[in-house]
Amino acid sequence: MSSSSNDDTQRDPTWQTAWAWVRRQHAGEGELDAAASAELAQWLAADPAHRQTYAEAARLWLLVGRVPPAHDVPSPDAEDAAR
Amino acid sequence: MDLSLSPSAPTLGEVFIANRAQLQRVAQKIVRTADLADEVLQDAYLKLADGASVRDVRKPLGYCCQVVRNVAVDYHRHHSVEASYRTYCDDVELVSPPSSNDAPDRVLGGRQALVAIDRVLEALPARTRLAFELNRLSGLTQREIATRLGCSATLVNFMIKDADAALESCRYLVQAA
Repeated sequence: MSSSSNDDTQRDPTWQTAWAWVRRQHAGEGELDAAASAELAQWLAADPAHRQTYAEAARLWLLVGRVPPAHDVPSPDAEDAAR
Repeated sequence: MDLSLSPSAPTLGEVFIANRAQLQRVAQKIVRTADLADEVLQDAYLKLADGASVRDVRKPLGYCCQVVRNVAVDYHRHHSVEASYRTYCDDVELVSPPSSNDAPDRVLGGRQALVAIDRVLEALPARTRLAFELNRLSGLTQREIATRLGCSATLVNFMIKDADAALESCRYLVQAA
């Protein structure tokens, strides 16, 4: 593990864009519309660094979702849990 | 053993297995096919133990659902990106598995990564973390969260942006060497 969560890393615009895309893909119930999907695909195609950084952002999103909640929040699967 | 909640309580693994059919439904609702749902369940099962070492899991079945849903949504995201990539950019290869299949977070130690993320979330004001969890884990809209917390939707939007910005600083946890 690198300990360099330094400012340079955080200000990397590629990382910021990748993280914003992953957040946007998971925001709300809907999928990206066709225009946004095309925009993302083109951004990914433009540079291998974009693809690698996007994969990192997706991994971080996945890790965040595994942290148990600190608060007693309802489960979206409550209707299943009731069965 | 890592999975145990207390000496008498069933382990997360036991809860998972006892509720496999329900968890399968949760996964299949998102990924659509039974085969993919099976894959999701296998993947999620392997990831259960880390969470229990981060903080107390007060609702074991709820946590199992959370991990299954998390992996399933990632599979779904991955397949949508792949599909649109093929549509718009068929001249370039996009070779990357769903991120849940990637090794790095395991090499690094999923447990340490989760502890680090938990610290980042814990450093936020408690209400900000609550808003974030209601959005990310419960799937509530910002408007629904505002009603629940008795504040404006604008404030909820700011709180979720704050949480996202804090998490953005965690790149080092997933960065390729």
